[in-house]
Amino acid sequence: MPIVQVQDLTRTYTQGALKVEALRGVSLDIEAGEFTALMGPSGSGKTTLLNQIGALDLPDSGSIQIEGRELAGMSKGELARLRLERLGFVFQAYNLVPVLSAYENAEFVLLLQGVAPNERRSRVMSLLESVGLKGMEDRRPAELSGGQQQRVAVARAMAANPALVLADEPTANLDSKTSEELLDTMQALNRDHGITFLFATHDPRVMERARRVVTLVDGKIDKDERR
Amino acid sequence: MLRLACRNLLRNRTLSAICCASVAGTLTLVIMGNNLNHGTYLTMLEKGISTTAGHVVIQGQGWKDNPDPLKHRVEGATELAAQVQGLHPQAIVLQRTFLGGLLSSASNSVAVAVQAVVAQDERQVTDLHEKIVEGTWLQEDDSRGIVLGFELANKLEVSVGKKVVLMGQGKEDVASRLFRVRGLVRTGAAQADGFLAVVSLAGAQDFLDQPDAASQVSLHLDDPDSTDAVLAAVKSSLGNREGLEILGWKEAIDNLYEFTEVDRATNNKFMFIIGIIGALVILNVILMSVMERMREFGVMLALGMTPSKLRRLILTEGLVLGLASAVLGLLGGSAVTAYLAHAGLDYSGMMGDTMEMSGVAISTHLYAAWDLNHMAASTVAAVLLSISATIYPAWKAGRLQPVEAMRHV
Repeated sequence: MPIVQVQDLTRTYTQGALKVEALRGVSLDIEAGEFTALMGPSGSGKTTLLNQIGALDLPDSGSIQIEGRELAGMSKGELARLRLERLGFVFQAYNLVPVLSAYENAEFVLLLQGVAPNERRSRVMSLLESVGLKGMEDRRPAELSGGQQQRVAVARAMAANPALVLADEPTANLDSKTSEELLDTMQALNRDHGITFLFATHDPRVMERARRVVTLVDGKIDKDERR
Repeated sequence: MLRLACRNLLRNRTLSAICCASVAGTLTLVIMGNNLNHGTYLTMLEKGISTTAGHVVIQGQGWKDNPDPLKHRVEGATELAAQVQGLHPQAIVLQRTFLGGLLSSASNSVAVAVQAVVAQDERQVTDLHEKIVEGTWLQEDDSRGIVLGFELANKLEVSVGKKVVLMGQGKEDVASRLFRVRGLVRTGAAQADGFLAVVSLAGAQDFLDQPDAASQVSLHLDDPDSTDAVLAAVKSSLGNREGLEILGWKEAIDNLYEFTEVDRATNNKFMFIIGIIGALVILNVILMSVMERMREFGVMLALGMTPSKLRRLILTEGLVLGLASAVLGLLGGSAVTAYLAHAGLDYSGMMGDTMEMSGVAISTHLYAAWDLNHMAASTVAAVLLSISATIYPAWKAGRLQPVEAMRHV
């Protein structure tokens, strides 16, 4: 069974008098273990689709199932629990909590999950080491570079052992070298732990590594290429 | 949760400090104001108890409703005073008679309120003898001596050593008695200074032709909190005597007691309004803080924090802010109370040495007294109001859609 099943998804935003049809009947299945990139020009609906799959926003119509569970009809609490236990997020703007250290940011979801302190500590330390941030645990976001902050965000997304990581333009604010290093890390996590990755991106480096590229144009899937 | 809440509050230290100082300052003012009022009420009640009643009062049945010494009196007052003194050896037991009459001098006549006392005993309870501005206080067995209010003496145009005649209703007919002015008192209360005359109990008994009778026998206690126990003991001991009403001080000076309670309730309402203003300051700070962290809350929700946990986080911020403010306010209020209980607040420059409140003259040098129950209630109220002020921001944050919140800049 696919980890993500999207059927006839539509989403329209209203901006003043203007109606923007961000998604117009999108259907898409993502299998477990995929390393997939959603690409397309700005305004094509990539981020909107990612937000819908991540249960961060509600569709106007259509169906989304994560691991066979239909999102429509779930309460806010149930959606939050789904995101906490099954999904990981990496955002373009990192979105770390500024008052928490790198360690505490990565620990945050484990705290929400109620994981025991010893296990939290070993998992977070191991993750920070795997993303190359050993020794920087106590630094707050303002004391880290953009690349380091995004690594913390990846560690945070991975901390809860998610089935699916949704990454929205994760390399957009990073230089080439840092982008390559970050993608190496994500690719290794996909390869070694079987975690499914779904990117919304413009970055050709991501597309080079992706084993499947789905192209969106004007809120519809234009192409779906597997490699 | 607590750690995150504390860090969020410390994030904007200036705003949190202003908020904390506002609430703590408000609580300090509330505690200070109440304790100063409490001290004033205690002074008024002590004054009322000591000058016109006692902690426990035994008087003729019907005196309270109709204070007529000819109709309502305690017969055998000396023996009864000894009996209650035996019940409570530590208490000071006074006998007093209150009557009205017309006091005349060679040049004028004035209607007066006469207080008849056992001079030496009275000195232990009231401070009238300390308010003598001319002459002396009554001596023991001086049944012809009289002490007058300073203004009364002016109206009568008499001074120390002069004669005055008291006329009034006697047992059978109009009675009159000659007194010689021994001293003049100035209490600061217009009623006392203008209309009070103090004579010995023996003199009043002669005047009324009521040997060994008094309007009231009163017990004055070191520990006012023991009033109820002493009252019960006195009632039990004198229960079989006809024609007496036995009252605790709250009943005996009910007008004054009710005045202080009404005034206290009114002040509490004002203080509650001040507390609401303090809560609005917190509401403003927390709301601003929530608005500027919309994006962050969106991220937390996206990561799987439930709306209820987010609401709890914001309520915890209110709780921490409230607790910190309450502790500071309690410390501030205690410090100011300690100072005012010791040094007092002197209004004599504005109002003279004494002022009259509800018929009682008290010093214009006001002292605070510890009202621990009110301090505890105000402190708890400050914390509860702080939490209440965060309910709306917490509710608002809990309703956020993650994706909408994350768009917030």
